[in-house]
Amino acid sequence: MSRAMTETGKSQRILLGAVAVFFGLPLVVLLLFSLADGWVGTILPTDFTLARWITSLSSTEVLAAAGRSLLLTVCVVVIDLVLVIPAAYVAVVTSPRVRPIIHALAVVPFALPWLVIAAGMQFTTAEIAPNLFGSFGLLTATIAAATFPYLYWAVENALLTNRAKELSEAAAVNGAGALQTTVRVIIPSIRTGIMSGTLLVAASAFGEFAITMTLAGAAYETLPLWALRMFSGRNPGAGGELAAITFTTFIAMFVLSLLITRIDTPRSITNAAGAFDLVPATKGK
Amino acid sequence: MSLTRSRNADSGRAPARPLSAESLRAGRRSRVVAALPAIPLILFGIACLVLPLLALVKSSLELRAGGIGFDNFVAVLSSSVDRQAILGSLQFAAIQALLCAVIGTPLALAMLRLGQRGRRWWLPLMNVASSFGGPGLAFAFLLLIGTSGAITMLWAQLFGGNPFPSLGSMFGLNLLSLYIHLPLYVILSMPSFGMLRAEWWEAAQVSRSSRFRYWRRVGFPVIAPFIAAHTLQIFTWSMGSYALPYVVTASPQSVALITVEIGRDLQSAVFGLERAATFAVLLMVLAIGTMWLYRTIQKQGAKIL
Repeated sequence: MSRAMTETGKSQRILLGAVAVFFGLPLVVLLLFSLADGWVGTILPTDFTLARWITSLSSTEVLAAAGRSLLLTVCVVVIDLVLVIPAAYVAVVTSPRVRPIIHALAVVPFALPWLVIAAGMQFTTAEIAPNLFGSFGLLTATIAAATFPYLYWAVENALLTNRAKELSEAAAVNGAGALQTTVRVIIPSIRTGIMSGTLLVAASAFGEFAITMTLAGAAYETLPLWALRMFSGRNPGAGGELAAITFTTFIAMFVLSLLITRIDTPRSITNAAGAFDLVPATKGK
Repeated sequence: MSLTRSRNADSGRAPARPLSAESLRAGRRSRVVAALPAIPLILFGIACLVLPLLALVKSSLELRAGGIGFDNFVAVLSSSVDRQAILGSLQFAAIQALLCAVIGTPLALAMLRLGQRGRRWWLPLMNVASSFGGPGLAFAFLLLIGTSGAITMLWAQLFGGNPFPSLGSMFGLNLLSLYIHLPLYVILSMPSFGMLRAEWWEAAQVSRSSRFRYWRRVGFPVIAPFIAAHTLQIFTWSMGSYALPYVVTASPQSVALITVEIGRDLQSAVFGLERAATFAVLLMVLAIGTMWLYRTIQKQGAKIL
């Protein structure tokens, strides 16, 4: 690339700076508020305390809500992994005919608001199985259905770029059984795809609002619903706790996201091929 | 993305063996067996994504007096309250899409020029911001531009007065939502804007073309279809956005939005839910329409390249 294309101009630096302020200021103010000891009528807080951090991070309510969010996230991830990986493998390697069907399903959560999906689920259960409404199973299944495309696209992409079809054919020629091929060739070759897809699913399940609010509500108070109660409630200290938890969540998600970008650099084809000595160790595209 | 994806896998396998009825049948059976591992996902998707949408369509067409018809849609479109919600959503989505296109396009281009090192920090930030939102974000903005927010106080000391409307106003809602939609627009745009080749700019420089002329004749025409497609996508997502609007539009003076109306109806469950179903089906129809338009525009863009 020429210098003119890679160098950032002055106006671009101003734009990036302004955007950094827009995205940074809310975080700064959350941190300040969580540390403030009463902040009324002044531009910046005058006294500071760690009290809100201590109460929020040790509050049983917060821990219980975080625990529920975590349990929900783990269950959603497990459902998606179990359903998506075999399906993506089949779609790429053995029967490409199912691909359009899966693609059509994967468009739904991308195009439609999740609130609409949740509403539809509420109507469906009202008709078929009213006692399911408000259950953990229904909530988990709906969020798993809404998030599955993240994992599916990641895995399908990994399978295609790592030439999974050729890999498994070569493994079969070398006398590997189906199970051996899957465990020792395919899974290692798409590991990064699985990981980045899983992290995307986990991040959106952890912060999910529309489906949880509609299908569970107060019956299953996850962290976002706890935050809503703190936001709308007027009990003292709630704001400070909300600020502390929101700040922590943002930083945690940022670290997670840094990890995603780090592992997303595909290098895996050489590793997978090396395991069976199938092709000369060439670098992926 | 989706254009390159489908290219290399669909070349069906030609059977090398001579065909007999028996081997054909065996082949079909083995094809069915080979597709089996995909069945659970397909059934799950039908149960959790397709059935619910059909249930919504059914409820929106069912009449309280019995029978089937479009009366629910007529009722929604002729009620001034409901019309206001529809108009509010459309207006909000249009402003949001426009803001994203105007700010997000130069932003995505600027980030593309940052190089690997800068992008390593910006991309995760955009990722997180795009899935942030909800009560925490609303609270942060309340602390900034609420009636006793930090910026409000600073403004009052410098210039006097409070220039910021409430978070539930059209202004407030749009400002807040930019925190989510601007990153989404940038994430969508960067791969397609990345197709602008450095050589084109070099060629323009060699032929002594100005930067403005380069953008008018080469750069913009190439990325214009993608700008249109991604703006449309933001429009659709804004129509359906729920968490932030739900949190900040609680007071009656706030903007009325379709999604918030659906959510309130579903939670109260005192009245019949046909209004919620009707609103949801309207959102569905809109999403299907814009999705089709999105694909069409994107294909146009791919043709140029």
